[in-house]
Amino acid sequence: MEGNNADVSGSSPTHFLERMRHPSASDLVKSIKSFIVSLSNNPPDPEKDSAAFQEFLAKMEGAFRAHSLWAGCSEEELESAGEGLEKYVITKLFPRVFASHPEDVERDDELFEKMTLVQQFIRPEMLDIQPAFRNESSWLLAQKELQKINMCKAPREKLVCILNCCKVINNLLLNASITSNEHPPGADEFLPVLIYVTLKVRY
Amino acid sequence: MATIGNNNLNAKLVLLGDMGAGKSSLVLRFVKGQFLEFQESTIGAAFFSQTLAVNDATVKFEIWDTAGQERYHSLAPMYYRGAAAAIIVYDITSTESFTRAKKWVQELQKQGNPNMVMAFAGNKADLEEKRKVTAEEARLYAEENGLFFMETSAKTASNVNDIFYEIARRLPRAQPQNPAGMVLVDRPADRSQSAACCS
Repeated sequence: MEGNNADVSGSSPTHFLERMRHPSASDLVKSIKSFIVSLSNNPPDPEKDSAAFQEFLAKMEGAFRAHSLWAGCSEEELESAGEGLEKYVITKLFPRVFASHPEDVERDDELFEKMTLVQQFIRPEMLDIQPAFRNESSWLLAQKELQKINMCKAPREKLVCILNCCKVINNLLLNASITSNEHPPGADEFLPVLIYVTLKVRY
Repeated sequence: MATIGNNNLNAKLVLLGDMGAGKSSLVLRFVKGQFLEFQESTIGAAFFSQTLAVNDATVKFEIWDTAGQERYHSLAPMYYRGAAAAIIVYDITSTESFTRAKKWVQELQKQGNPNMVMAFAGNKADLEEKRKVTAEEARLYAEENGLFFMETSAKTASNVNDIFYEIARRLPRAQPQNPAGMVLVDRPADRSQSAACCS
């Protein structure tokens, strides 16, 4: 199963950093550093910061495209450079952009409290998960994938954690349908398990 | 929403209907050509894509299967938002599923995209001896509501491809461009997962 999991990072981030070490990249490095400093100097504002970050990514993508370092590169390589940049910047800005705004923190706390309560009494049958598809111990595998979300910083990596969790659930449901001679699983089976797994994870 | 580029159309299609009406089986039959088969797909149970060639264009359907349980009804708008087409599925052996299907049609007419192509599918047409909903009744309802109607069987494959082809044919050829989401490319993982994720 591991082998089938999506891996967004591949070799791109290291590759990106290597390219940035090239002398001709000094102007790019300067823009990246100045963006990080300029964002850090203003008070956090999730909406504004997000817009500024998107704008910066788009601008840099244009700069990569025009730069001699990426001359003759494929679209895929350019895209992975964009991913590398996003990961680098978000890692640097992480403490500022994630859960730094008081409103976000409050919302998070409220949700966490609610989920901790729900965790204590929720049962698969309450979510309409059919008996043939109930297997709490195997769902721990899916929970494990989702738990990794807190160790990842870049949005893309966080999404991959969710995607991998979904893949594990799908495979478990398929196996369950085969052993129990049930119809193949669809959204009727998948969504309740995803919700259950999400509620049960200890974040 | 259907988006156009040259002669290629991308269209989001959502399946709605009661639990057990056969939404997922219809998709599986269409995408994999099989009623029962061990298969692996991108996000598996809930999301598929399939490309069809129709006349002068190719239509790539992004197919969203939804959970039919009543308790998940409130999530439905997230699924049909931006959809270019919907298949509302009921089971011809269940009047209850027919009633639910009509409620879905009403909801889409009220809140969906007015240009949405809507198909009304009476599934499990192979179970003639257990039929509770007549084809005439459903056809009349569909006509009154501007839907096109077919009886399908995911089990025998009857009308399954046809319903998707008919949707593809009816899709408006020009739609506003949708903002692109994030594309997660499935790359072969050559490192262990934790290392790939958090290095």
